[in-house]
Amino acid sequence: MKIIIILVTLSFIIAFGFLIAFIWSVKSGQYDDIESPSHRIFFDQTETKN
Amino acid sequence: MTSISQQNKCLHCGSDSGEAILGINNEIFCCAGCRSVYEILNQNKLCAYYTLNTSPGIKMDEVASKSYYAFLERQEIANKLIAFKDHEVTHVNFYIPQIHCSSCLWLLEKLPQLHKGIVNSRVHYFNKEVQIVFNHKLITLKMVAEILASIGYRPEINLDSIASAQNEFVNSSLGLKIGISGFCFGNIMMMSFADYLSIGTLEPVIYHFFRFLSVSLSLPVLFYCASDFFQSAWNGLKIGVLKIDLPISLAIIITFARSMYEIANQNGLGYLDSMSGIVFFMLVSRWIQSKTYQKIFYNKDYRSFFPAYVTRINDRREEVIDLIESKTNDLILVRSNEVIPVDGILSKGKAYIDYSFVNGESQPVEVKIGDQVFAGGRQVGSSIEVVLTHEFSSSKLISLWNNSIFRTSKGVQYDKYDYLASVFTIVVLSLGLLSGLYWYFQDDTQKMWSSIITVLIVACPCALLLTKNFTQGNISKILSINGFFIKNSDVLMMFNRINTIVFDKTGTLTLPHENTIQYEGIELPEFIKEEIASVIKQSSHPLSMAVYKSFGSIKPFEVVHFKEHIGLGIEAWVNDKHVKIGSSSFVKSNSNISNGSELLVEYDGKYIGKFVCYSNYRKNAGKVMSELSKKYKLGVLSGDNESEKPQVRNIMGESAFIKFNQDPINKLEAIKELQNHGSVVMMVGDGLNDAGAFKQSDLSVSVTDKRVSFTPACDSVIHGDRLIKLASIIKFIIDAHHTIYIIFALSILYNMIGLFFALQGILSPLIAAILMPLSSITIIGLSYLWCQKLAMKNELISTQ
Repeated sequence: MKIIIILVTLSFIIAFGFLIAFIWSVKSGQYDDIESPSHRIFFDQTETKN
Repeated sequence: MTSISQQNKCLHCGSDSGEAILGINNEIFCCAGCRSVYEILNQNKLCAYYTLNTSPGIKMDEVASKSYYAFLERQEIANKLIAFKDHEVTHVNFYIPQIHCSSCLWLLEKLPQLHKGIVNSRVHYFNKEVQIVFNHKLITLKMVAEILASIGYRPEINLDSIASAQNEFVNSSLGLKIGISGFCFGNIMMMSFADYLSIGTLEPVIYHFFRFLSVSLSLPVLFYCASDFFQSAWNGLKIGVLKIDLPISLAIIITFARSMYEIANQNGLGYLDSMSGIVFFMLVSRWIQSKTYQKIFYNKDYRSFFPAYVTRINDRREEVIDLIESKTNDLILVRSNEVIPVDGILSKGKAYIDYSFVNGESQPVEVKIGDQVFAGGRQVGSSIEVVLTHEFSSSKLISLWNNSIFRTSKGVQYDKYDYLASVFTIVVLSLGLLSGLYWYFQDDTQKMWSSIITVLIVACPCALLLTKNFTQGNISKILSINGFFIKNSDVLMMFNRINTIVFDKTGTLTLPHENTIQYEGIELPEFIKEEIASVIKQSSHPLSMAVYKSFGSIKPFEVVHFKEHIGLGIEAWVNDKHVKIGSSSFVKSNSNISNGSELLVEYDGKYIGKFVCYSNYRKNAGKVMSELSKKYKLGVLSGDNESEKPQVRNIMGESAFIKFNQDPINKLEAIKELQNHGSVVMMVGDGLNDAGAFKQSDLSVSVTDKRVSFTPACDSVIHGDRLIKLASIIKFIIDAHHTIYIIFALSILYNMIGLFFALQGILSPLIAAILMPLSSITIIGLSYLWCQKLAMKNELISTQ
């Protein structure tokens, strides 16, 4: 059963990686404006048409 | 000029183009301003702007004067706006309230195509801001602002926007706390479960490993994520207020301490998962609550209404000075559509001052040279010059804010839900202590500790708080879908107590800047109409312009010997006929009733009739009023004259009280009078003239019509076109608030069952720890469903 220690450590490290990613995304301002990116995604399409 | 049917909408702004102007490729525009924007965009191949949304443009009726942004040339002013500057580029943030759709976003991010000096531009949609990076060797700050203005996006720069500092940090740190506490909560839970399910049989190595991990995960929750609760509870204690954060803090600390005790005694992993769960859920509910409140600034005062800078004329030279620096006897220039910042005397130019915002008069006032103009009026015509007679702070309008009512805050309205939850906590805490004492005298220390701790865990008022926060969050979300925005949750509680609703007329019951022109007089043949229209066309008086517009498209005749008598009217010859148009003191008539909003016409020496200007009342206003009058006492306080009394009476119904000619102080006094007679007053209005009444009333609702407009300090904001739903909105808020009690009762029931076992010492802290999140989830779900159901019942959301 001692394998659980390694497994938990592994899962913890992976989860911790996601936490770091989350903290980074907040700090870099990705949540500051959650409205405009959803509009911007459409612009590229109309531009390629022109 | 070509005649175009009325259905045609302006390509740029979508407004009805009464007298259409055609563009290069026969596009239809309502005015030259809109066309010029289209031309700019067309030249720069930016016409995709019009394909993203139909008619996304901003109506260009307010033609900005070229020199409006002259003050940006002053270095110290520019420095306040500039965020960053190096030897090549400058970063600047502009607040542009007109940003409203994806086309705006698209166009503003294409600014580099309009001028090669602009390196980059990025829109912050939520804050309605655009961040522009430009090469200051190629383009100046002033030119950037002018480019924005030329395409309809006028950056708003006033006293307030310069004074305010950004405060985004608060939100992002809340997000961080939620993320971290969620992470810790999940991971601790995973290990605790292993412990719960295999009590006593965990291998010592694994146990020690889990113990180490749980404790280290719980530390950031306790010291970082929960810090706001401790801070707020402590601040409350310092001023002797029992805040709802106190019991939460207690629950967090006690759960943590008890867990440490158990862990130290090698007796399981404690209840660190419950502790981080409490913190996580509370933070989430706080976030939901804050989310719906940030879109609107509610605490604007007169400072956001006035320009930050005025143009002073000194020895025929224009210079831009800080409004506060302006002194008595300064000669200042007020351009078209600018607000007169300080009381003064008109010295040059044709002044038509729109005071609708200050005193509710619906028609612009014509002012003769040498007459007084007052701060807060907006110049409608061309540029004028004004000699100041006051300092900024002693103007008549500003003195309203010196009224004592503005210095006393409404006071902390006590939150009865918080109060209830606090009382509940105290009761439960003393119960816990009593049962502890009981078991102590029974000499059962094991049961004593167990009962004290479980009572404390069960007694956490989280469930109660979650009910309140989530329900109020749901309510305000549904309200915001319906164009009604509230300042904070305290506002919701006031709706229950209201028994009187007072309305303003101009801009509230009526549509702002929209009038119906009616001709009253003898029937006119088509050519006489055209002759009269040709004469009216020559006048720049706002009322004449409105009358001219009402004719639709006509072929104008040649007008000769045109003469304008300031303050009286106009006369001219057309097709050898003499036409006189003006007020009753200028044109003799047989009708004797007169007010400021009519134009009398004399044709060929005979009085033939008059054009009367009526305010357009909002559609279905009468219907809402009759609905509201079933439950509330209604009233109207208007700053306008009595000319429209019959219309107002018709809308408001027989029982309503109606008062005209009310200045801001009168309005304030009238509300006070009502309150002295036991009324709890909700004031619905707009404009600065209602600011005093807003402050005095128990609940203030500001009506806004443009996508953005100035709203004075108020408790809530409603979109003008949603005013017809006011009755159902009020009913929904009251209904929805009752659900809080129901869910409250339910969560108390949960707690009672838990307590019943806890007090006997037979509930293991484990069960308590499981009960806690379970009750939270039921409450969140129930509150959501209930609000949706009520909203459907009141037809505030569609039933799909």
